[in-house]
Amino acid sequence: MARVVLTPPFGTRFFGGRDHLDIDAGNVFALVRALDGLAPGFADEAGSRAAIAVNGTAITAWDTRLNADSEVLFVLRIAGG
Amino acid sequence: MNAPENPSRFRIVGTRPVRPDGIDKVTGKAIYSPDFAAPGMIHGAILRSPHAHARIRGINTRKAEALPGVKAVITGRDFPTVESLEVSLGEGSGNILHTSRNCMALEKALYHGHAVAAVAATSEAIARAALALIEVDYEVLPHVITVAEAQAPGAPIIHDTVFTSGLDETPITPSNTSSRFVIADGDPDAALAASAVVVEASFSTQPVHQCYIEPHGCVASFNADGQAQIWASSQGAFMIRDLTASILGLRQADIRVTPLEIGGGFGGKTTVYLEPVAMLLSRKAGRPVRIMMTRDEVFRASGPAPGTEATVRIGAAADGTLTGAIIEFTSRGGAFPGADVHPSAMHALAHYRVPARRVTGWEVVTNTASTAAYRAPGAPQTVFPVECCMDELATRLGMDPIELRLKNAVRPGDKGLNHLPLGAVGFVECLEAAKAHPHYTAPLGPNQGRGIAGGSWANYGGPSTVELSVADDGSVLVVTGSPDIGGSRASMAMMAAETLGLPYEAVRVTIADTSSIGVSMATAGSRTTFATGRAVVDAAKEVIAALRDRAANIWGAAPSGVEWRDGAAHCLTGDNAGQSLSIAQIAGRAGQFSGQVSSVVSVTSPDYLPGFAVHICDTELDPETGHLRVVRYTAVQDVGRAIHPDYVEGQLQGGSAQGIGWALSEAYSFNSAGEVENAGFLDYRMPVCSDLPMIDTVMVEVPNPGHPYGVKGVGEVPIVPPLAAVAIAASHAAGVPLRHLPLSPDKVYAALQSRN
Amino acid sequence: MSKILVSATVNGDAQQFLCEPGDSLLDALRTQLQLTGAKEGCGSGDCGACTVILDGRMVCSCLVFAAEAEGRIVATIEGVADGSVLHPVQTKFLEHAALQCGFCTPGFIVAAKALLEHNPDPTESEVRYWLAGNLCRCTGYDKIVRAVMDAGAQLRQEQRPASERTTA
Repeated sequence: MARVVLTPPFGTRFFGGRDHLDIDAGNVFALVRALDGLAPGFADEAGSRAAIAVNGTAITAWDTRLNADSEVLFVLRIAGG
Repeated sequence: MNAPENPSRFRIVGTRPVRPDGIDKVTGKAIYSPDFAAPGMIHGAILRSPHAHARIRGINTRKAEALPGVKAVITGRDFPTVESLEVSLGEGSGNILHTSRNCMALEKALYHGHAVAAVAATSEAIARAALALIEVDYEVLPHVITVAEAQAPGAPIIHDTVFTSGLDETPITPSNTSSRFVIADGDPDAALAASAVVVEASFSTQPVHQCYIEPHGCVASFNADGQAQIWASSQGAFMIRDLTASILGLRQADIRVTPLEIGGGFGGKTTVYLEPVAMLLSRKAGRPVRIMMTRDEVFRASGPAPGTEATVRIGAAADGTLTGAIIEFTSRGGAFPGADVHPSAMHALAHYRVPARRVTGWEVVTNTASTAAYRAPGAPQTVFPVECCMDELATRLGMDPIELRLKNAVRPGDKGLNHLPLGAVGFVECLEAAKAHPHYTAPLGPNQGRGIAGGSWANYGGPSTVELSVADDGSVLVVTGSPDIGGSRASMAMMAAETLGLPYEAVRVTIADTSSIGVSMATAGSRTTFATGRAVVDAAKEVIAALRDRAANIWGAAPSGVEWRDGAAHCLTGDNAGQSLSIAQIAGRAGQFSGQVSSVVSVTSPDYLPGFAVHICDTELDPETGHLRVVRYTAVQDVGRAIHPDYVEGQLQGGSAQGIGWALSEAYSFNSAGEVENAGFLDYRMPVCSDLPMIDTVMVEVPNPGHPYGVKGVGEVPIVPPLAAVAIAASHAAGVPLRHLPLSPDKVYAALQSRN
Repeated sequence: MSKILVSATVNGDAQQFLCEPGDSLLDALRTQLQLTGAKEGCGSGDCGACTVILDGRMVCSCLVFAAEAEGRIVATIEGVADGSVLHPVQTKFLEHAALQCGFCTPGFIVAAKALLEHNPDPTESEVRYWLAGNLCRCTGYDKIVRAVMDAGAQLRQEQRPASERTTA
């Protein structure tokens, strides 16, 4: 089970204020699909507003492989002006 | 030129060559948005609401359409219906429906100056005359300009579709309070209760405009087969294309956007105001249409950055170690949600180790122009109160303000604002450099005060595409999609030349239209030298590999036996060992291979690093009038590595000047009808040359290991510390805390009177 | 409404153009003569991006009626360089990186050249007050002031007899 770490506002808005979940998924696409199944709308929100890190490293490719001890972090993206 | 030259680790990186687009720009040849003309072009003008809040019951355009010379008239009804949709536009995200409605009102005009109709005619004068013939039936509604008005019981609700987001329970009634964003860590209440010293104070900043000198402008041309062109100045041609396509329901590949030179943006040109309007007019008229905003329109209908009211409580142990902080702030978001509340909250304390914190940000919509990004969007508004409180903490603890900051500064390995361990960040190095700078210990004159302040900005990566090709004579072409706002053609050419081992002048850089190169996110977020620069270097490396292969083929040697050095292939093994082939000699034999050597590289780089800065400011107060003047200013910043130091210094100086303006003189004035009273440069007072001293810069170089030359974004950080640096200096000069910006003479004079 | 025919000397050339009575000199330069170097940043004389020289005087061309140029001598940014040879103010703007976006630059260069013709050896304060009518949002003015002072130094050097010149 990969550990999903949710920072504001993802946890509050979609998962009743939880800051983490454990999900079985082979890559980030599968993980986001699973999360969207639990909280419809999460996938769109993650696609447009989230920066994602796997095991402490920021990633941009959602086909990044996950395993049982992966930690996947969702944080609001800041792009700037 | 006031910093030492880079040590000679590189041939070109760190030197200061003349920018390749320089001569065009000092001779008046460069083509900015008002300078471009398409054959057969006609002129558009926009009718704007004379009310701050009004329902549009109907618009009668018949008289305008009948005016000779008028070719098209449009209203909000000409815009296709778009869903409320958050889309990823590379700039974080945006709501297409709001962007569309901001281009032109439909049901309601939401601020004085909101577009309600537009005309295209054979001359600008006829277009403007036609505007006067459009009859709009308004039902004037009560309006709200300030946060207090917007949140007052019984306040008119601007959007019946906006419900406060981010609350524990989703509300069932719409509200002008559009969102709440909370960051919480530990138990800050307990931490503050146990602190040796707690500083608590309230602060405010005003909305300010980006004040690029070039007003918004574009030319749009729509053909009957659905293919269209736009010529516009913006921070991102792809952003213009994608937003226009989404709003108008066109295919992205059908819109070709040619980026013209851009006359400043600072975040304010990361959205569309005119392009969809000009496109609809062009579709109706069958002719290319130009629209240029006047300065009055720029002030009323574009920008600004949100203003913020904040209350900060921050505590420290007796030795100065920060214990906890509670911050609550409210940002004035303008007509549509989307103010920078989350970056405000995330940056407030991002430069310090604070074990327990709760930062709560609220966004409130008002009947004022919709906010737009402005340099480090959101950060100055919350770092200002935090830094002022840090200064008060230092005073209360009897500590040197830099020592207090050093004690609490974030270091590599600490958790950053994205919850990941910080990489090679240089805040400590900046503080040390500030402490060692002669400015910090220089004596002050009468009525002078000194302030120091720090701050950070996350920076960004994002997608960039570069094509690099070698002409037959060995000269090199680099094509990017990143508009050059402040010298990026020079830095791209420098990085390519450095990598290829060629002279700077052998590489020429073109900013291409959206149909001629793959996608690049806008020149924004301090990303271009980092992300597009990385694509340039990667492309150059691919080209070197291809050139080595060709040389190896020519020599009959193994590619591993060929070294690339000083712009030439050198044979290390075999019969030809010791021989070399220059880039021109290899490129000239393109016909003997599969054509020219070229490489197209698309990157999305997540390994950007935040930037940190420390500014030192001396202000002098005229106690008779309350007028403040900045008399000395030093900006210290970790820049990663400066590719072209002049343009890095220029970012530090320009950002500092903008921050000084925010602190001292810039603000909107609204009358009781909700109309901006100072929609011009005479009355909206951005700093002029005689307002400022020289701005000394210190470039601290802690290279970013995630970039081939160590680049970190530099453009946005420098606007983060100045608000506090100026206000702290002014407070020391005045002997009374000055916490509400701008520090205009009347406000400062009143504070002096209350002190006495 | 009939148009007005205006004859003027622009950058040394005799020029004729038609204008409406309400057109500004800036409009005429930009649209009739295709001299788009002067920019409109405000249209109200506050930003200086449209600065030109009219009969030797520095003006905001957005505040001058095009018809007022009749019989007069106009100099714009396009006439600052001598053919392909840049004026020292232009060269120093490039050497000092005194521009970022470049939109205000033509106005600054025309104004700075006028300053140095009027006062060949200005102090920093004199430069700052002379240029106070030209707005720049990018640079914080630091490098602009340095470029203008350096251009002044070069012009003073060039104007001295060859025997007195120091070699840099």
